[in-house]
Amino acid sequence: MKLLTHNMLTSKCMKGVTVGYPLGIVAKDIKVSETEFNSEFVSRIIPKLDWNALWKAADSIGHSGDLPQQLMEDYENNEEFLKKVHHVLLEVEIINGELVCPESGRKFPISQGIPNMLLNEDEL
Amino acid sequence: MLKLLSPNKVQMDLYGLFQVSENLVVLEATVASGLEPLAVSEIKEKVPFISQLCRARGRVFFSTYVEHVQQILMLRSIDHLYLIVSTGKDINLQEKDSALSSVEKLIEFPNWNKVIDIWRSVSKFKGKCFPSKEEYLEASLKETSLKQIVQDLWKEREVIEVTEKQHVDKESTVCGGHKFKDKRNELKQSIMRKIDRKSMYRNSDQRLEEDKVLKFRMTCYRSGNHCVTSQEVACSLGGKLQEKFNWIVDLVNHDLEVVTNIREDLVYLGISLTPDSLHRRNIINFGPTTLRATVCYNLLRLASPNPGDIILDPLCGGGSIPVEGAMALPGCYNMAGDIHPMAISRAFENIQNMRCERKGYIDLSHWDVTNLPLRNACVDIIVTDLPFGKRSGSKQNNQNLYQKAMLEIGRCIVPSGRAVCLTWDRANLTRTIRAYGSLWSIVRIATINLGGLQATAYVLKRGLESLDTILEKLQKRKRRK
Repeated sequence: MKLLTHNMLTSKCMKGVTVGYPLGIVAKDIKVSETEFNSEFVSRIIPKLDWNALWKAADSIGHSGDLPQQLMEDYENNEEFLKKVHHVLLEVEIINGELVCPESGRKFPISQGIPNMLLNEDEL
Repeated sequence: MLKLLSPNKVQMDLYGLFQVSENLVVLEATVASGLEPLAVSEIKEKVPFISQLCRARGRVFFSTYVEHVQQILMLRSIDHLYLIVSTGKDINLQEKDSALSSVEKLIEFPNWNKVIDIWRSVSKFKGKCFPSKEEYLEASLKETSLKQIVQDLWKEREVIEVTEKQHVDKESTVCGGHKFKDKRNELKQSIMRKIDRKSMYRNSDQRLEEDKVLKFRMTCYRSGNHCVTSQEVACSLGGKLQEKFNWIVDLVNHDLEVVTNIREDLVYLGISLTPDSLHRRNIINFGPTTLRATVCYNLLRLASPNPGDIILDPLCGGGSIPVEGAMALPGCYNMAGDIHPMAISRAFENIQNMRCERKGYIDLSHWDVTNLPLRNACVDIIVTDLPFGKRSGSKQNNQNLYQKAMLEIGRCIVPSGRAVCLTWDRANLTRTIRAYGSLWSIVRIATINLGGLQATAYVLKRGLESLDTILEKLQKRKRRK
């Protein structure tokens, strides 16, 4: 599971959960791999992110590096910054661990990099 | 609606296209019928120069410079590519003897050297393209002995397979339900067998590449009313080619495939530039309903993706669509998910098999499309292959599934976002779309022929209003009734 996906995930699908975002991360195994950098992709995806949630998630697993907590202006032309964002979004993967609902505490297991978001009958 | 050109117009356009100047080549690209306009748009976008272009059912013809051929082989929307080498018009195909001799004249054109050169630079064949009679005879003997060796190896292997199959059959009945008598699984197995036989043959052949003699196959495709069958044409022309060039005939392990096309009263000869069809590129783990990579690419193209777009496939199965998206669309992020553990493990394997530098652009989750763990309006595009009812799921389940799925993806997609939904169950999908009022509007419909099944791709646009507003309006409408 990459942090870009995590930025979109929520436990609001559960009964009784009002917001369910952002999900907490408990990371047991993290993998860092290299992936092709595309500056246009990164600069266009940034406005679609919840930046705060991204920074918190990266920080909670110790991979925020020197990523700024506040989004700066005019980032489109800052290649160095874009590369850092690229790294955090696509190159850091949670392989084993859990996602935690911030309201109910319910844990969603992650194994082989795949989060299992299926709910039980009584949670629907 | 996409219209097909009338056969007569195609004939005229084709014949005109075939009369090209010396430095141009004429190519024929095939694509699943119904997706021709998408192949045309990719060709026009990526090929540096096109002199003329026209399309017919399941194919696109165009003329360009020969140096662009390598680039054209990298196109993602086409399945096969043929170099057209010779054509004939107004050939009398109503009388057998004269028909065959007229069609045979097609191979008497002066540019075989040029054609073989082009084919050789694509196929990298290093053997003898114009062998002498003696070389041919020697090579023929070698072929016979190789075939015998492969036959013996194969017999040994079949014994092992039979015992394995008995074991697998037992297991399937224990698991219950999905006994994969499915045609797709048989297809997968027969593909694997062909690959294994080919590697047995290659491993047993110790000759230097340069000492081998060209092996060919003549195939004939025919549509219309004629007094000759495609087999008769293939045999007759194949025989003539063999005599002319001393090539070895091999229907299975050939290097070169020559194709005769007879469409109504237009006849043309082509050379295949794609011995391995271009569409089996991404997937190593086939499931019961795996889509060809080229069809996936065309479905993605229907959604007009832009760099920075997040593309969702919430019913990804083996992941063919998002894998193709990650490989072919630079600058898009592909989120895939499915409910079935078997689909997840297939998709996982197919993703592992991808080229490293593109793996970052795809991610897989285990979820239920009727209750997605995704925020509102967080994806830009959805491209998915909805369960067909015939192969997975069933018609009753489909109604319920479609209703919930179309609502959920309507929630997760941005206003005005595009969804491309492939389905066989048109009635169910159109009913669902209508029932949700202004949530979805149909932008385009493409009927596609997928291995005999007529599937329909709906290109939908998500309305501008919030989901709550839309649902409120629907409630009011119901109450009024």
